[in-house]
Amino acid sequence: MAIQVNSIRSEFPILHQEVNGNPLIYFDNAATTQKPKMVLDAIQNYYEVDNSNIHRGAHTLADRATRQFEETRESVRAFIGAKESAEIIFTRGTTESINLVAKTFGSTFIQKGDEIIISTLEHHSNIVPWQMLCEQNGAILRVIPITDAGELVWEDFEKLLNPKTKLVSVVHASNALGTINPVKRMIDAAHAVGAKVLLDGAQSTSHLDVDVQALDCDFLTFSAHKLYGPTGLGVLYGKRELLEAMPPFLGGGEMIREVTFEKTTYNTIPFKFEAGTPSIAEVIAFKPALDFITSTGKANIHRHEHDLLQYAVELLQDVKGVIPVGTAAEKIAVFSFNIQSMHPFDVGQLLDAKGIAVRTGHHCTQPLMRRLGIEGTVRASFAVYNTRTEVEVFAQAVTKIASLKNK
Amino acid sequence: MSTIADIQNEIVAEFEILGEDRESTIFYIMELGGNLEPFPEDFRKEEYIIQGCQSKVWLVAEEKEGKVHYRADSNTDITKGLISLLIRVLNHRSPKEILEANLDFIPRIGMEYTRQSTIQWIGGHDESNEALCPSLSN
Repeated sequence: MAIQVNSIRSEFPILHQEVNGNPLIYFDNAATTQKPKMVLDAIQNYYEVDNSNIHRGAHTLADRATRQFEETRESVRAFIGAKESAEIIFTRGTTESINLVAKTFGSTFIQKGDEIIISTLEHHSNIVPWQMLCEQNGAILRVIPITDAGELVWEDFEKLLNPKTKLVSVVHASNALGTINPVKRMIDAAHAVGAKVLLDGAQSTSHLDVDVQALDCDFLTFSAHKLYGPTGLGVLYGKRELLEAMPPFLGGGEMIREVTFEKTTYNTIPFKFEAGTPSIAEVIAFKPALDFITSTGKANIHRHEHDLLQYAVELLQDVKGVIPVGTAAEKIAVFSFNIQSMHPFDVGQLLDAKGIAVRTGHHCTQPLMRRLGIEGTVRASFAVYNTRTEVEVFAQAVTKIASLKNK
Repeated sequence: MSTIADIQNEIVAEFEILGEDRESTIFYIMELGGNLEPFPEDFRKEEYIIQGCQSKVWLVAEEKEGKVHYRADSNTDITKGLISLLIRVLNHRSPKEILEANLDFIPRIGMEYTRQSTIQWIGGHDESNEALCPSLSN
């Protein structure tokens, strides 16, 4: 089924505006996606009608808020194919989800001399928490190298795996280059040496089918705001047996069973990991975002975005001075590039002058940029509401900018 | 000698010719970077880099006979252009004049986002790492 892009665009109020005298073309979707009206309405409705603290009130509003909050948990469970909703923990974002695993699973099950494997493609949020853990407990961080095209070197990954490997924490799809990693194979290989696997799904969950049971990953992390949902909300999926074995992350309300000054016992999962009042409005408004994706169809979304990516590549591949960065065979809809003799920042500003929003810089992947020998890139990332016409306007603008210094 | 305010008014008048066209404004700023005096390679080192920016900015300020002499460079053309304007406004002034200056030409030429941090930077308040830095390197 083809995407009805005009009808989808009508659901996103923010897209209908001019920036610097031009219609906005929003190609910064890997940073955050825009929000459909049903998400905005859900936030408004929550505060106007149902605002109340959850899981504790003895009144109707609290019941309504609690029910809607837990309905989102069930939607997330279905969205990623988890066995039960207790395996879904709400956090502030992917970064917090990874830090939670590092601080709880990491500090309990990873010891001095144990090894953690990440890849060259990782976002800083899947590097720094592990470095902090290694500094603390003497574990060792190993890094899977990549090819110049931006693909992991499988043989090197296999060589890194050994009985000391306790965790493989790897990105499903690269935010900077778009590379989709062969995660099913990686998970199976990691499990074969007894290691657990954390999948950073920040970029993949909005574009690809991610089924945690089919993949058999031990943890999955992602952020609502990259899935057309609100900011400040993330998800940590973990297998029940792991979550139960892990100590709590933050201490406080909600996460306890009983508190005395002598000793506190902890609540069951997922509440053990959700201390304090959560982002209730954001959680409730995440459900219509997931419904939007599900009703549009992941396969349709992926096909549409992939078509836009192919079109951008086709229009720009022979333009003098345009250097694509990241040419893996399997990619999500991320077009990263540089222009010969120009800094990405200048390119981004000139695109902005035309109303085109892209991201420029190192994309929180400094080690990856260092490996590629560049300071950064210009990144156009596509979403379901983008159009072929927008790609044409973008390609014309890039062509003009490239001609400034590439006669 | 023209005052800081006079020079700022001159710059604003030059940009007014461009109208409100964002692209023309940026192209003009990029061109202005070419007017900067060549940056001495001896100073192109870590200690002269303004930390935290997506673009690299090197800045050296020296006091000679009570006046501050600025030399600066950047690896991005837009930032380099903005630096050339700042130097045009503030070069060869006394520290007192610089600290007391009401720098307002950047928002007036439509490059609002650099205002606060830029003023702090070149005015010598080094607690601001966001100098000329609309986009942080995070």
